[in-house]
Amino acid sequence: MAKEPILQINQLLTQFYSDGGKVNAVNNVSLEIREGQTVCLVGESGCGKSATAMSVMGLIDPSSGQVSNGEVLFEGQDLLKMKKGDLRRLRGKDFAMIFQEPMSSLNPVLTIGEQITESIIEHELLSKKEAKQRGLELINLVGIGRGEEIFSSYPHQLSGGMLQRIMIAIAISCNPRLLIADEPTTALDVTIQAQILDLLRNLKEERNMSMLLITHDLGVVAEVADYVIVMYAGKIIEQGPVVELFKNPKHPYTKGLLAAKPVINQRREKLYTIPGQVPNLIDLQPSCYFSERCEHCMSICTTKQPPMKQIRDSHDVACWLYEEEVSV
Amino acid sequence: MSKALPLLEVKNLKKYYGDSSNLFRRNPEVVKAVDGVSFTIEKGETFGLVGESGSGKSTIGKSILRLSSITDGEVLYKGQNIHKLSKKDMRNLRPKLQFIFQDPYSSLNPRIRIGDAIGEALIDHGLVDKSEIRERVLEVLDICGLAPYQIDRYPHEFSGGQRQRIGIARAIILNPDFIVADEPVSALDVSIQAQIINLFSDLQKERDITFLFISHDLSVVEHLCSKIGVLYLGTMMELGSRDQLYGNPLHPYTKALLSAVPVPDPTLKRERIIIKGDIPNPADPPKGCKFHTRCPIATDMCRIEVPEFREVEANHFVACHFA
Repeated sequence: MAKEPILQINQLLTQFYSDGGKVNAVNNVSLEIREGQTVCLVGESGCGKSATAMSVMGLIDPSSGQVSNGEVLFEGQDLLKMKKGDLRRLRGKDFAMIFQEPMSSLNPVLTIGEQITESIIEHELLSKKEAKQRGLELINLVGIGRGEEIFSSYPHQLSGGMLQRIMIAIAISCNPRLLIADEPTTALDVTIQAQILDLLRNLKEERNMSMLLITHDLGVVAEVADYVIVMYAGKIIEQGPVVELFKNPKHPYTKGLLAAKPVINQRREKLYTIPGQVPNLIDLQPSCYFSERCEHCMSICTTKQPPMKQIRDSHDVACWLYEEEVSV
Repeated sequence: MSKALPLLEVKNLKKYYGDSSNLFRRNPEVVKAVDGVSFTIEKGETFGLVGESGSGKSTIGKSILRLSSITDGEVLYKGQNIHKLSKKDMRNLRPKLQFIFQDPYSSLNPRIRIGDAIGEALIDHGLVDKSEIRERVLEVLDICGLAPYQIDRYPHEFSGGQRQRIGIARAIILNPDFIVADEPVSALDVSIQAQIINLFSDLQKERDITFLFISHDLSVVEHLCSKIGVLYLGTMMELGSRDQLYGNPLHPYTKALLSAVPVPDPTLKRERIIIKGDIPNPADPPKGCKFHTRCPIATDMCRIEVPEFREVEANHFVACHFA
């Protein structure tokens, strides 16, 4: 049963340049995604979840940052060491990405058809006519009718939900084995979000596609994830299978996130709040980065970074509370 | 009923954009952003207005405070029609009616210290002596969870959550009776959102402020609001108390909205109502019931006849032929 991971990230370090020096946006992150598995990266703004995805895609803008260390193994090949041309052949074909803002990721002066067929023609060496046929099938597959009409329209003529479907159609056009989705439903209304999540779930099942889904919404995580990774200030602080993580969260930050979210039909007098705010990544000292907001903060937390520790089968947490030698 | 006058009464409010009075266009496209909406807000109540994009919820918020003109209808604040007031009377009333925006950063001048930005309105309306202003600003900073030393800082030095606190401080320093808050927590991270939501509930309790809370997030609305209206394409679909709306939703749209909200519980298996299609173009809304194109139970009658907005149980209104 043990499948080889389709994506394996080892000790990834991504840094951005800023006035105050280099910022470790992704700080020694390791993770793996298996075939047919959906892994969710959760966290708040600036925790490094999008930077992780951009590093995998090789899309870190060299004028603002770089991947300084680590390996990104896609089916065993290190993407970071790959030649640009080789990477281009894989990207969009074997693994693809969808972004949060469909409107700003589509070209406003090209028709939807031209944008859908672009990567098909590029990667699959099909004729224009064959590519169009495939494009129309894709439009149908993502649940938009009126294929011909949509094919010749421009992005501004479609709604946000339709554009996000088009983005998905483009991403899956070459049958990728891994789909990276960065907040794919955040900009959408709830009824449309439900449709898109349903679509992603079906695609995953039908094609046995692996997915890395980035979101800040724990509701979305609960609906689609198999495995969850929680990030804070560039580091993974807890990870585990979805049911285990929601039923038995260990890190005070994970617990806080779950308790801070209002949930329908579970009225509470007051919401739990995590005091303070995310620290500035520039002046981080060796410590648990969550320590200054943590109600269980101990002296060791302010001087030493907690290592990742396995609590149960594939459930790991980086917190001093769970290290026996200090907890007593 | 000889009840006391409600604090705010909205009667048959209409707001059309691109009105037909244009000489140069033959068939101007009229967008009925708000199409005959009525509701009342009692003193001390927090009224939640929910709906998806294009439902007209922000337009209603702005019209109520006369930040936008209206096409037809009435907005009565303590019985007086806000849109009929003279400019001078309106200006005198302004401090009592405040607005909190979704994106506080774009409503702050980057070159003005936040202490001045918060105190500005007090000076403008001549409400306090110059010497007292700093004290008043410090007082609201404290209420809103900001530190005294932050009074002389500039907007860029604050995080998103803190800027929203500044927006709230600016509104409450005038001791308003009524605040319209338009998606005030939508742009914030979960841990910060909870802080701001709690600040809102404290303000409700301690300062007796009446709120119109506009949001697309049904879980936040349930947490804060006692009465809720559900909008779709400029029309009120359902209106009722929190218990009625969340415990016994009657309109198929309300049911679909509630079932579309992802619940953070991976073990929960529920029958999901996924409504098909997109929100129709507001410039060309469907005939009959506006929701019929996406409604799972629509019949021919729904395609022709506009359902009446009727009271099905005490204070619970719904616009559906089958509710």
